[in-house]
Amino acid sequence: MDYLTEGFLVLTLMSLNSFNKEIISYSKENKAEEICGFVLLCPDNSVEITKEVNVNPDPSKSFSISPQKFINYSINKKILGIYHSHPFSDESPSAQDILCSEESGIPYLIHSLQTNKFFLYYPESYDPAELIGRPYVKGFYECTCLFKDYFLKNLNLNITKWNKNY
Amino acid sequence: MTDSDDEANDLLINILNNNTKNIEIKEIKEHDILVFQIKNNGRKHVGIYLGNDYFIHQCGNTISRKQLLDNRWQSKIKRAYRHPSLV
Repeated sequence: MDYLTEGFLVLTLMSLNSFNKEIISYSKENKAEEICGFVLLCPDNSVEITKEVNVNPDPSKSFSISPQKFINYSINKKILGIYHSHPFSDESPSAQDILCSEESGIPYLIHSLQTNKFFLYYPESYDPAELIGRPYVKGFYECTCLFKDYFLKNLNLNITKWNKNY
Repeated sequence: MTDSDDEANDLLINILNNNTKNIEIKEIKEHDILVFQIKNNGRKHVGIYLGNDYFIHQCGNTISRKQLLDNRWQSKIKRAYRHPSLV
């Protein structure tokens, strides 16, 4: 799928966060299967990633996380996104990735071991956080995200689908 | 793997040029998109004008906030854009 011609907007991020680097390392340690986990915003505004067990029956082609994990992490932290790797394909979200992201309303951050690039997929069902008082989290809470979310929250204008390919 | 600030800035400007209307800075009104140049290295920053001399934005490593568009910030505005449906 060509996201530019499909009407998606792609923004290039300027640098990698430490959590991006953690995901890359984790991907490279598990080249035979999709690794997965959460990107979490903690109460002290720090960001952490979790390393979840991929419980999918075919972990080389897909990933699944126990539903209980969603509940556990939602109690005291905010789930900013779900990350996973594509060991054998590029960073573009699969049809299944898009479906699951839409169902959950959670952005999907995908790292490809083939291209060593990320893709951040924002679902149509995404409900932006409050505009004021966000801590800075590259890719999730930054000036361009605020711009996109402002239009969605205040004007109901989904001006972009800010998939970030970096 | 990591793209430069220049590439990111160019892409942002291209996106705005292709999807919004470029307007005169002196004509800004509520909901207009403001592009600032905050450093001499060309790095761009985006905010939204709220009207009554306030705007909302989020700088790197700070909390998103509503802020007075004072002389210091006004001097940093490089371009302004308006969504087509608001023209």
